Amino acid sequence: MVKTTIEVDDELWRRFSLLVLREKGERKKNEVIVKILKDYVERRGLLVEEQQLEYILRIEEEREAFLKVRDELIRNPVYNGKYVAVFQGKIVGYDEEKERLAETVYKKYGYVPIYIDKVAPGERQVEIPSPELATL
Amino acid sequence: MNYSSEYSPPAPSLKIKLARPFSDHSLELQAKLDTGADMTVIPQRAVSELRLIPASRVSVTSFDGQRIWRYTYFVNLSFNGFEYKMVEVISAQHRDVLLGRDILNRLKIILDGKNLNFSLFDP
Repeated sequence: MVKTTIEVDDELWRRFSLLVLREKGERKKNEVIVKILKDYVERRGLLVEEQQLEYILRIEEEREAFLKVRDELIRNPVYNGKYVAVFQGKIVGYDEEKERLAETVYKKYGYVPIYIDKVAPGERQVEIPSPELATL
Repeated sequence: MNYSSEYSPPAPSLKIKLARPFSDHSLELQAKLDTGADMTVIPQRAVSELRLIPASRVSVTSFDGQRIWRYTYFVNLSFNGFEYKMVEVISAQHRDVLLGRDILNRLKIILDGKNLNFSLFDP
C-alpha cells in the first residue's frame, strides 16, 4: 500500500465529501477514491495480469521509438500513409495492409510485442458507439 | 440464422472462434453484429485466456462522445465457414464480441428483423 497526498480545490472537495456522505455514509471517501482510481485504470485496459502489463510496457517503449521518428516517416514517401512495425526501437517492416504486415513481422520475429501503427499525423481514431460499451 | 433473444430487443448474433496467431489456442464466443462499430471488440477475458499481445493503440470514441485510448491486438477470427486472419481488434469489459464493420463490410448481410433472422454471404 502507498500513502499519498494530493491537492484538491476546496469547493470540489466539499462537494465530493457531501456526495460520498449522502450516498455511502461516513468515513467512505477513501473507499470511493480507490474505486475511482481502479475504474480509471480498468477503463484504459491496464487492470491486467502481470504478463499483460509486461507486454504493454514493451509496446509503449516501441511506441515511443515510433513517435520519435513519425514526423520523419511522414515526410518520406516510402512510409507515408503506410503501416510500419517497430521492434527493439527500429522499423522492421512496412506495408499498406496492417494484417499482412503483422503476419510478416510475427513470422520473422515470433509472436512478441511489436508495435504496428499507421504513418500519419495524430492517433488512429475509431468509433464504437454501442451504449453497452459506455464504460469501454 | 436466427436473432438471439438473449438481447432485448433480439439482435443478430452468432458463435465465432477467436484464435491466438500461430497457435491452435482458441475460444468460442457469442458475437453480436454491430454495424455502428468501426472495429471489432473482444472481451478482455479473451485477451487474458488467449494470451494475446498488444500491437498498437487507437483512440476510441464512445456513444456519448467520450474519447479514450485502447490497445489493439491481432487475432484470427472464424465463423460460419468464413475465416479472417490477423484482424486488429480492441478489448473491453464485455461478455460478448461485437463484430464491427471491419469484418461485416467483407460480407453481404441480409437482416430480416421482421422475422428475426439474418443471412451472411461472401458473393
